Amino acid sequence: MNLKPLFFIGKRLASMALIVVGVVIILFFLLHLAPGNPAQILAGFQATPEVVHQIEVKYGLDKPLYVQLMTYLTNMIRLDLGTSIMSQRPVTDEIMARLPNSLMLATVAIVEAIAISLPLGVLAAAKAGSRFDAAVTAFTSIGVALPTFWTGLMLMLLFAVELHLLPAGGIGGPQNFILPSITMAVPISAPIIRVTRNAALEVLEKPFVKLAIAKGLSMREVLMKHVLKNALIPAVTLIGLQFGVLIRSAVITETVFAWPGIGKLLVDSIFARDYPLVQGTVFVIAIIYVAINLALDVAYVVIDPRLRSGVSTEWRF
Amino acid sequence: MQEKILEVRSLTAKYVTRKGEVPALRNIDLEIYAGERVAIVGESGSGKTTLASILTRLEPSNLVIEEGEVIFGGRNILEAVEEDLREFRKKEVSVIFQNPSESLDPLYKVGTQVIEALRAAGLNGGRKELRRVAEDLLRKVNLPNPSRIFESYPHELSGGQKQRVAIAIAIAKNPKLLVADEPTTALDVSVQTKILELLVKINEELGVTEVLITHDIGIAHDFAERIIVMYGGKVVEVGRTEEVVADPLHPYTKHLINSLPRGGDLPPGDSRVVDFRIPRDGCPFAPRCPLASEACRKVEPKLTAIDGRLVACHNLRAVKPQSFEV
Repeated sequence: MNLKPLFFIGKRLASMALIVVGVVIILFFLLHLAPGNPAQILAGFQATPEVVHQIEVKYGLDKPLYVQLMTYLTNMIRLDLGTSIMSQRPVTDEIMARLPNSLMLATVAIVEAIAISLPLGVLAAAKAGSRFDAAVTAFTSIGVALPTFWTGLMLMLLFAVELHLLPAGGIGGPQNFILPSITMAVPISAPIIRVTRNAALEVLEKPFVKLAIAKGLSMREVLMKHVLKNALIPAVTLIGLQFGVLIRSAVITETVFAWPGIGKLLVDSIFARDYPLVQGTVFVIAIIYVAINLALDVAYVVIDPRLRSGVSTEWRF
Repeated sequence: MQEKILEVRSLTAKYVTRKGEVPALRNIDLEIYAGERVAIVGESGSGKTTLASILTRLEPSNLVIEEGEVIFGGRNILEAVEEDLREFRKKEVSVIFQNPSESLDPLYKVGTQVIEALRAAGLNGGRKELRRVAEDLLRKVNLPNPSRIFESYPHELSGGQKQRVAIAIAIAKNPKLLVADEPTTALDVSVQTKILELLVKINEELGVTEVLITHDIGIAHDFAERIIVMYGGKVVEVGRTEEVVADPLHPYTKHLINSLPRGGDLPPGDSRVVDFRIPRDGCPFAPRCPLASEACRKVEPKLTAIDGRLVACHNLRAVKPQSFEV
């Protein structure tokens, strides 16, 4: 059996672990090296030095920095992310209660974005220079320019407030997904459409596409089997990069639509100065981000046989 | 003579680019006969590849066909609608491209791509049955171990092997006409000869009419029964291979033959490439032709029959005695 794919995935897993450790360390220093004493903030500014000291002892803040870092890291490994100051419940519980909501919304949004972007991009390339192509290009320009909160509010205003067709926010049935998922899909669709269109334009010039036409395949078959699949490699790279945008727009969208996910949790915890919760949420988001990128690396290998045998391809940026 | 399989009548075409229009083909007239092997020879810019792309209706979108017709099977394929073109591509005409590394889709196994061609040509059946037919095709193009090739991805094969696969795909539909555009240019010299031999074998055994596009009159000589020489978007000479090579009538054909490496003394040969973007009157070869007269620069010479050949030159009498070297 060919072991190369396994080595490949192993290497990615190792680098993924390194990235997560890096994120944790940066998070640690963000909290501990930021101006101001966290114990003072926790205790409130009216607190006496004795109270502040008590808190320092309670959270181990009186120990040397490297000891604190080690404790912090070992706690992370045990998935002990501390206790929320707001709710006094474990941060892990707080996050786990919200995470499924976010994952569902994000999945719906990304599926919508991909389902719309890939065909639009390929079709725009196949009809390059047409009105359809111009319309798609216009949509991509507008799509990247629209701020998420504005798109969300406008959609809400039109479909919820004016037309009473859809709920304005909160979680419930499938109809609750429509507005927030579209809000999140718009900013990530625009760049995916562009990259797919450009990649497809390049693929359309390849002799193997001409050969597919020369075989007598229908345009639909040529586009679906050959053009789309070959354009998918750069598109997948971009979809990976778009997860960063997705997380950012999740924070805003969940806040706009009162969606009880980790994006909203993050915003609420920042406003409440609930540092353990902020840290825990960012940690979980980082892990999700890295895991998705790992999944996409595996996706390349599935799509492109040249990567399976270690041949580099011209497509990857 | 034999039955005509393809007829091109006063075909004129140009490329439309952002910088302006580039004439590509000027008033092309030619005939291809059923079962023959013919080579279209010319240098870059002669219009040979443009012509090949029109014959297979795979021309680039910025090529505008201004006038003329291409008659295949009794109909003008330039006026064919999309459905008719698909029928034409499924059953009648195949094409082979220059770069075998780019002619196969890198993401599919070779076998899948051969089977795709078989299915498109109307062959039905289960995957097992089609696989047997596909492996037979791979054997027919002299690929060793067809079942291994069937399971390979294009990047696992050599250039020569990939070109053989492309030929297998081309003959999968049992075409009437096969157009090969510089099929050996990207390959090693030793592989080139074998691919040419394979194309000759396919022509002889399967009776497929073959049109080879090449810049190399040596390759044309090894392959073709007839040679069509193009220059500046025009056909300048047409004739039987031995006659054209032994006694070229057009000064450009003469130049091509004199430019062939013949061990040792290379003739100097004027290799300037003329900018065809400037539309001109007269003979396109006039700026490079040692015999060019005022008439050559003003009046476009017509293809004229002479000694069983067609030549477009005003100076035929002067050329015939071979009194000069181009």
